[in-house]
Amino acid sequence: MTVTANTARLSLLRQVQHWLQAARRLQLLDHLASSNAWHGIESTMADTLRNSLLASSSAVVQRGEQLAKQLEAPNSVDSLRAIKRELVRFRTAYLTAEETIHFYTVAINSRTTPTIAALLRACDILCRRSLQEILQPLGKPTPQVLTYVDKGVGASILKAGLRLWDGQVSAIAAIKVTQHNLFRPTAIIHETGHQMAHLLNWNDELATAFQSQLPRYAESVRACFSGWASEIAADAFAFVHTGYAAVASLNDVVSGAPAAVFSYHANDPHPVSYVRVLLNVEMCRQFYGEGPWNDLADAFRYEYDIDLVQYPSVPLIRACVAALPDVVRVLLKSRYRAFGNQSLSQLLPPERVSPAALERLEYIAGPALFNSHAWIWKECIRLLALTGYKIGALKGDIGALYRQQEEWMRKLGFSIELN
Amino acid sequence: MSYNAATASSSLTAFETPFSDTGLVRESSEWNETTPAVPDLESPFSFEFEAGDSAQPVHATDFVQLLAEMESPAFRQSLYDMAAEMEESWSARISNETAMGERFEPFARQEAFTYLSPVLNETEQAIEKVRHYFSGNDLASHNEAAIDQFFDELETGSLPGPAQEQFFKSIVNKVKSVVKTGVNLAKKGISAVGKILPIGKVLEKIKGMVRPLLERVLKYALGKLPASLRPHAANLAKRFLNIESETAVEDGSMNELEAIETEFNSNLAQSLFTADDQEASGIVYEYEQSAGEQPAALPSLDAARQQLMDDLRQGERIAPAIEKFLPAAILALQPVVKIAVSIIGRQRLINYLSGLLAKLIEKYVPQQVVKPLAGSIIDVGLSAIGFETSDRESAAPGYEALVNTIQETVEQLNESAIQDESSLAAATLSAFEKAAANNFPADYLRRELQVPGQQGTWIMMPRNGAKYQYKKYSRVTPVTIEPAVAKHIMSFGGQPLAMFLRDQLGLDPAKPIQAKVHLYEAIPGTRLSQIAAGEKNIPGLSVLNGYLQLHPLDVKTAALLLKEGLLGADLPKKLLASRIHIGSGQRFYFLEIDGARLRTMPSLVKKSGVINQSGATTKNVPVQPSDIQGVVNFVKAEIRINYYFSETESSAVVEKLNKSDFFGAANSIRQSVGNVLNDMLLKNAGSKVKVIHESIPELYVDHLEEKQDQFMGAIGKEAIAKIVEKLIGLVADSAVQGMLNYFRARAAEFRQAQSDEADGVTVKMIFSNIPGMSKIGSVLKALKGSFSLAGITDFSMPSIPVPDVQVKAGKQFD
Repeated sequence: MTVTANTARLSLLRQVQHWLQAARRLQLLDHLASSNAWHGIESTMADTLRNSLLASSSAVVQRGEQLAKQLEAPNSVDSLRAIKRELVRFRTAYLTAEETIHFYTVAINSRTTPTIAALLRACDILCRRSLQEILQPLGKPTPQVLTYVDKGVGASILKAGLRLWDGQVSAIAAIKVTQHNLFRPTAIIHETGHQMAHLLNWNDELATAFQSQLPRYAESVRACFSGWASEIAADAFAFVHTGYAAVASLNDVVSGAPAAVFSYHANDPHPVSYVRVLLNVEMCRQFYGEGPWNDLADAFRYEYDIDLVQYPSVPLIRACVAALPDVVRVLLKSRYRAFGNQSLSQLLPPERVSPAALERLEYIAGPALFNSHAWIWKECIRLLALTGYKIGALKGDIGALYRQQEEWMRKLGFSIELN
Repeated sequence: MSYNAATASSSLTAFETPFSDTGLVRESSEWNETTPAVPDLESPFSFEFEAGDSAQPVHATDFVQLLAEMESPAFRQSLYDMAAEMEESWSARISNETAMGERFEPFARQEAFTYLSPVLNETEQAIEKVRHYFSGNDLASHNEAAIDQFFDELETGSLPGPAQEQFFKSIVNKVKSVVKTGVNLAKKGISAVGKILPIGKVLEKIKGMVRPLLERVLKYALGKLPASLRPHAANLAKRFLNIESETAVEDGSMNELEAIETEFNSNLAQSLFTADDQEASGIVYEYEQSAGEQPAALPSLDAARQQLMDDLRQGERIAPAIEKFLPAAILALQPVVKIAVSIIGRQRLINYLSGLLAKLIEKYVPQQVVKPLAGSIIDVGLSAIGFETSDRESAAPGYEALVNTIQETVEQLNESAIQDESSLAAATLSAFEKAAANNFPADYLRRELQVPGQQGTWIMMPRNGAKYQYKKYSRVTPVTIEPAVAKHIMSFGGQPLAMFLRDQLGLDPAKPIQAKVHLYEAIPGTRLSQIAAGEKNIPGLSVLNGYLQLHPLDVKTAALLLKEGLLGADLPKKLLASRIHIGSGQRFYFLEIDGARLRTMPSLVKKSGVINQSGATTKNVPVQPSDIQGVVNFVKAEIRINYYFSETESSAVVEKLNKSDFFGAANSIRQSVGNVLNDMLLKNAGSKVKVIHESIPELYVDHLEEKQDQFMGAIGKEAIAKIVEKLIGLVADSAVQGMLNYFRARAAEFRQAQSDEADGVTVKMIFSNIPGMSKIGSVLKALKGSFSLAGITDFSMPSIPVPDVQVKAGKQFD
């Protein structure tokens, strides 16, 4: 072995040691997220998370240790080259594991105070319950859901069962709830809908149904809805669980600048916002008849008057809007293999969260509804629907409604044993 | 290979017994003739009363009324929870308790001191506040509402958890009862004549008793509470009441925490009812002094087990190794045998037993046999137990199986087994078979000893803890719990499993539930909290109060749940009354249900400072399941039944009422009250009905001693139990109708209580001025004492008046 080879070996060894010590630090989970944040997570989910994060870092550490071992003894130049190539792969493995672990630690660390942690646990429960209500009757296991709070307009999901940056499979679903929507979190049910559609493989089936069951409409219209199937599926899931609350909340989130509301991008799975709001209103209309969604639609059309704008997407939007009644029928009333040959509205009847049903719930439970842990536990999703409906329909003191929502969500968050 | 007791037995015929037959018979017959059945156990308590005449003190009724008011299961629960939390605090930091030897206790005490200091300080400060408030004023001038308000406003400071909060609340309630009794006596003009101490002095004494109380809790956590505490505690109040008490003997009628509470309450009550300051100071002094007493130093069973394992592993001769182990095992496991052994000749018995046991196990001890045995145990338990890779090569599980088998054989021996050599040999063989069946894998057992279709075995756990604390069955069984089955499986205190699933897990028990069943067995000293703490890998069990999810697995339950009764174990009924009192060999199960979690809620205990303002409670309290309590008060001629409807149950009733579904509401109430709750009460009257009677300071029938009268056997206790059950039965029938009438007329009250943020609703059915109660009371007095039983033949059960009904938010038992 030449001096040059030895120098190269030592240099490689130094680099391996550097990345190895960094990888070992990734194993100190209590250093990555604060103990308060860990404490704010339900105990079983915390165990799952710990195990899966350790699996990510351990794989990298093992790889590094093997390299270090190879570099302990003198090596030939050829083998050093091979080690160098492996070192580069090891660095990449470290960085991707770090990406994965960083994602979850940021999510966990968002449980900064006991109150925020309790509210997020309530969101965890709401998401999981919404999934359980559809998956359990179909005999499927329900994955765990970790919600975290972050800035921004829209919620998002990292689904359970997907390959992560480092190649590991995600053990839990991670859903981002936005700061502004923490007390009106119907959007997390939409995100959970993505998980449901993924697990039941509904997206593809729905996309095909939009192509085949809308023969009266132009190919461009069918192609649009087919391409939007995954987002529409999630909207449908949010609607059957929370009714008008999801619709009003969606309206408030997407009502940005007119250019954005009318903008159409091919390959974007999100429907044009203009179509999407009216699609959601159509769901209410078909199941509940007349109601505050009519006013919402009128106001929306007034705010974004399609006759006054010149965007190139306008003709397509008009054609899509004309198809909405049939789109909703296909969406909610057609039978799918994913649902055991039932329709979504048969499996989770939207009538359970109609304004009348929600008002009746409030009447039969009496003042205990927002106070009693038994009611909150049993009816948490309908409580979300009820408060969201009242906020959406401006029924009562809006400030008080948000406070009430915070209070019952906090109670729900404290209704399971912590870590 | 199979384990064959018949072969072992035949080889025993050649076994030379160290006993001479004549000697054994003579000595044991001497024992029968001349030795008192119960020897004088040395008590660590030096506090003795002079035996007075049989007349009861003037305030006997006030005294028992006060005892009854102070008695509280929630208090004992808080002691249990604190002991569990203390134990967790020290066991999390050590790897091997036995190896620490004498260093362990000082270390544990230091940890416990850190844990207990805040609750001690807060409680003492609160009592000081009470003393300050009540000392200056004329006691008789306080009215009840103002006293309630004062005590309601006492806040905890920053106590770290719900167990300490509950402890604080319970002590405050006890102090409140003492103060109220003092006020009532003052109103009667009694304090003026110097029959009771001034309240300030009384409170000073009570404050001095909190520290020794906590010392007892620490001893309980350490497993070092002297056995003589129980008889001592049982006799304290009886001595005050001049009730003749039995010889101090441990008969298991009261568990350790009940003894701690009984002793504390009796001392509290006595400090009020003592006219003499010096005497009251004496009570505190003795209470303090006896707290520091150490029980006679027993050899450690864990250390002896370890020694035996080491000896077997190192190839020492088997019989001498067992001989070294037996004294510790006999002392720790079998107090009754221990007594008899001292009489028939301890060394002889030990020699004989060790020879016999050595013969029985010798062929399993060699390395080449024990390793495959260990391998076989690890194989059957790989997934359920979580053995680690390093365990796969270990022979330890094999040696453990041998030592467990020896230990459990000894544990089963009783007094009658050691009458003579042949009965000892027979009893040992039969006990050995049972013990081997518990600890060896099925392949090693004769077919008739195997549990049909079950390949598992019982393994010491936790594998990586500071010491073994329980056993786990190495197979986890998936089951579907049908609604009808959930109704018929009973848990602790007669609670149907369906109620647990509904109230504590928030599940709908009207639907079939899929679960994985984990099985556990208690070893000597096991507490359920230790099982929950040790099962970190099982989703949902190892959480705060996780032990509330463990249920008793008796034969009937095992048959219903697992379709295999042999996996259950039947133990005395008293071990089914509550989770805080279980016995060695008792079995339990935990249901792992996907997505189900023990339901909790934030503590509602008032706190000063900032702690609760942003909902920043650090720990939750478990939600309460529905429950029932009876109080038969002979002093007031009153019977109460307190029905507690869990939040889930009460909200379901309100839902029906609000839907105007009165038929449905009445039906659920009839079902819940008439079938479920009343049944719980009637079948568990001994532990769920509080009896207030000046001759029964024990308060519960189950706490009465088994008086083995020469002529009547245990007639006193049984007759009292029958009378109490009969009374409760009478009242319970009319309570169902009373409840339905109440809902017809005053449902709004129930709705109101249900909407309160407290957990659940209590409906109190109060039957007052019951005619004939005093006559029954005097019969009880006769049964309890040595009065004539003439009256028992001509008394009849009273007619039951219409009850008053009170409704309160939360669980409010008397």
